[in-house]
This record gives sequence, C-alpha cells and structure tokens, in this order.
Amino acid sequence: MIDKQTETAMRHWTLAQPAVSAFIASQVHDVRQRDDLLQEVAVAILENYSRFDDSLSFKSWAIGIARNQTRNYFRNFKNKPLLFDSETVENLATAFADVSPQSIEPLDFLNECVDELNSKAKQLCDLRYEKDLKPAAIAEKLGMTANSVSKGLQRIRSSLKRCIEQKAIAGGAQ
Amino acid sequence: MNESFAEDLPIEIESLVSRHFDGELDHEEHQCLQKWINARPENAKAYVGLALLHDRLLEANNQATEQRVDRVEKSLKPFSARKKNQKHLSWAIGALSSIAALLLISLFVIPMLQGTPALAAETQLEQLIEVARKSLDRTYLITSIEFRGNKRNGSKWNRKAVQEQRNRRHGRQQAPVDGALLHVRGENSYVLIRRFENGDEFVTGSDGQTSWSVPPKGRVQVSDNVERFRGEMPGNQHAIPFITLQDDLKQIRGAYNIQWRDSELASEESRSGQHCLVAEKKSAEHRGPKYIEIWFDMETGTIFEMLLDKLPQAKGGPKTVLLELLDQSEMPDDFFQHTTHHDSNRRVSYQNE
Repeated sequence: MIDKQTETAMRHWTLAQPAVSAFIASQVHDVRQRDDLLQEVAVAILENYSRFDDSLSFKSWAIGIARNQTRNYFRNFKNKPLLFDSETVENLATAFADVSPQSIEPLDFLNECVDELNSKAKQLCDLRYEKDLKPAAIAEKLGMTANSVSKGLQRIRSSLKRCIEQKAIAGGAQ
Repeated sequence: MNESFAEDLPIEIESLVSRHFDGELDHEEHQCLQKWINARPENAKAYVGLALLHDRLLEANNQATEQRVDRVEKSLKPFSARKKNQKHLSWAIGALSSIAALLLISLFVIPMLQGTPALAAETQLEQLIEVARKSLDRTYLITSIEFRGNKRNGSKWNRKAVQEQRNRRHGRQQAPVDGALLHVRGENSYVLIRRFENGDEFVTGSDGQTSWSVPPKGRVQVSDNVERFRGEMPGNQHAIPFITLQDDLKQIRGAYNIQWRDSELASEESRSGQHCLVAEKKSAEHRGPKYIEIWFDMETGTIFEMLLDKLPQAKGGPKTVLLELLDQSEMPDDFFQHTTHHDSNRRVSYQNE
C-alpha cells in the first residue's frame, strides 16, 4: 500500500507540476528533453520528500529541484548554451514559485480557445506544437517567410491569451 | 478569477518572448529578454504567464500526437514485422527500468479485469497484492527492438559515446541488456543475466534479503540493501521499483489509461486465443514507457509477451523493449542466491548499508 508520505508528496506534486513544467520548458526547448527532465524532477521529489520542510512552500522546493536538474542537464550537454544567466533563472524561479492555482485555472479553457482559432491559425498552431516544427520549417512547408510565421505564432499566442482571460472572466461571473 | 492570467505586454516584448519560445532568438536578443525579465518582478510574472500558456500548448499536443502516432503505428505495423526490425544494441540501464511498470500492470491489472468489479477498492487491492505475492517463477527474454535515432538532439549521441569511451577506458563496459534473461519470483526476487559479446555473463539479482552482483571477473558483491544492485534492474530509475509492488500499485494504476486492444487487430496478428491490454501513459509527469502492450491468455492469466514502447530517453537506451515469456518452470530454491551463479572460490565482498 502506498504510504502516507508518498501520497502527500504526490498530491503536492500534482498541484505544483504545471509551474515546474513551464519553468523547465522556459529553459529547455526540446520537448522530449523537457518531458524527461520533468520525470527526473518528479522522481527526485518522491525520493527526497522526507527532507522537505512542510512549513515552507512545496512549489519553491520543487522548482529548486527542477533548477538543479536543469543545471545538470546543461552541464552534461556542454555544446548546448544556457538560455538564461543565473540572475534570470533566480528571478524566474521566484516568479514560477509564486504562481497561484487561480492563475493556472484559466488555462483549462485553452482547448476551447484553440478550437475557435481560424483554420490558418489552427494550421500554424498544429505545425508548431503538434509537429514540433520551428518557424523556418513551417515557412518552408507553407510557402511563407520565417518572419511571417513568427509573427503569426505571436498573434496566435496573444489571441489565445485574450480568449482564455475572457472565458475565465465569463466563467467567474456566472 | 482573482488575478490576470498574463499581463498585456508591449508588442516588441511580446514578440521577443514569443520568438524565445520558438527558439528563434540570437544572443543579443536573449540578453535583451533577460534584461527585461530582471528589470521588475512584474516582468518576470508576465513572462511566466506566457510560459504557462506555451507549456500547456506543448503538453496538449504532445499527448494528442503520441496517442495518434501510437494508434497508427500499431494499425499499420504487425507485431511480427516489428520483431524483424530488431537491432542488437547494447543499451543504457535507465531504459530497462520501465519494464517494472509493465510487470506491475500485468500482475495487477489483468487479475483486476478478470475479477469481480463490485469489490470495494481496498479489498480488491489487497487481493491483487496477494496475487502478486503468489506469482509463479517466470523467465523472460528481453529484446530491444529499435533504438531511437535522436535527430532532435545530436548531442545525446555525443554524451553516450563519451560515456561508452570512459567505460571502456576503465574496463567496465556495460553488459548489454538486449538478449538478457530476466527471472522473477513473487514480489522481491529476481535474477538478471546479461551476456557480453565474448560470452561472459554479468549476473545481478536479489533473493529478497540481500542483493548481489556477479561480474565476469573480480569480486562478487553482496549487500544487505536489496536495492543496491538494482541499477541494472527494471524499475530502478523510474520511481516504479520492480520489487516494492504494493507501494507502487496506486501509482501505476493512476499513471496509465488501460483498455482492451482492438480484437480485429489481434486476429490479424494471428494470435487467436490471446488477448491484449493496451496501457497508455496519461501524462509526462509519470515515469515509464508511454505505451505498453500485454498479450495474455484470458483463462489462465499467463502473459506471453509484453511490449514497452516510447521509453524515456533521458539516459539513452532503446525506444522499444520486448519481453517474451520463455518459461514458467519453477526455479531451484537457491536460484535467487548469488552462490548459484559463481564458483565457490570467487572472492565475495559484503557490504552493510
């Protein structure tokens, strides 16, 4: 039977996971590597949970572990440059640790908002996120310039952000 | 909603952040982004809002793609064809550990599906654990089917090559798990026999009280820590320890969506009389392979083959691993003790931890 401590750790982890995942993704662009790092962090958390001081923030602790794992990742891949310096990582770690459940909840509207994108935007979104293509590859596929693809993706993100906010407000008002 | 999901940003900053997520920034632009993030806590917070959105998009599509690709691959590629593609490559220990997930599911889920659904969860759980405790001796042949060509990250190859070089230099080349035999008994005894190309064997195992390692040369090591030599064992690095079945039952059951495989597909693969369970990992936060197939006899619960696909690749290794049941004969009582696997004149080093 799973013990109480593991159960508590898993419950904490479930709540912290979106912020930890995004923290890793902000520094590691390869999706597969992000997945693997996230798994490493989850294991490290379960293995070391007994050392966690529960008077402190679990999310901060988890992000600290993610920070170490990500640092080790870049240490192993010496030809891969660090995206951010330590000051920026520190500031981001603090900001990610401060993410509240209320600020994550609106993301549940994401699928609805993606469905509402026009077909061109949806195609761009698919190629970027589902096919994991970079703007240059998307541009080649669609006969566009890489710059226009980048701008298109920026507009999509911006539009999804607005849509999510509007739906969250509407949902909250009901 | 109490707080804004993500602040509105100046268009040039939004462009910078967006292109950062696409990996499009040059060094100077990265410096600019960092400067902006570090300027005010509010900026870092705004970046985080967009990062959460980007990550959720990755996650949503990642899962959808994996499931779709898996389905298409399984439909188009009969099992027999997959077996023809076997490549005999030595592979890293990390990948093997996912086998634990599969064995756990095979031990727990199949009896569960055959059992009475109305049983209370706790009672059912206890019964399943009991089934695992009573499980018979089984011998599996382990085969790595396909090594993932990592086009996305060439450096992984470099890391692997460097590590292999180091290992060779120190005379401790890793024994290949491809072609290894895995003997398991009950919930905490195993013997894993790996063979080098020259025929030498590297045997690791546990009798449930101690764990041990018998290399081709040098000292035999025995530890009172049953986890000491599980580096080579399925489950060691995936938080789904092979040995502690009970502790991880909940985790396994929670981590996978389990369903019956399409019977039409099964019959196309000439497997009449056998049934197949398919388990797909719910999300990346859980460890282990993303896709699992378990072929078994419904009446006896005998598992014939188990396939682990899309194994985590952080530590290298194969993408896909196949376990084939070779034998269910009862092993001798002392089979899971180290003394059975080496000459009596070998030096044995005992470690108390």
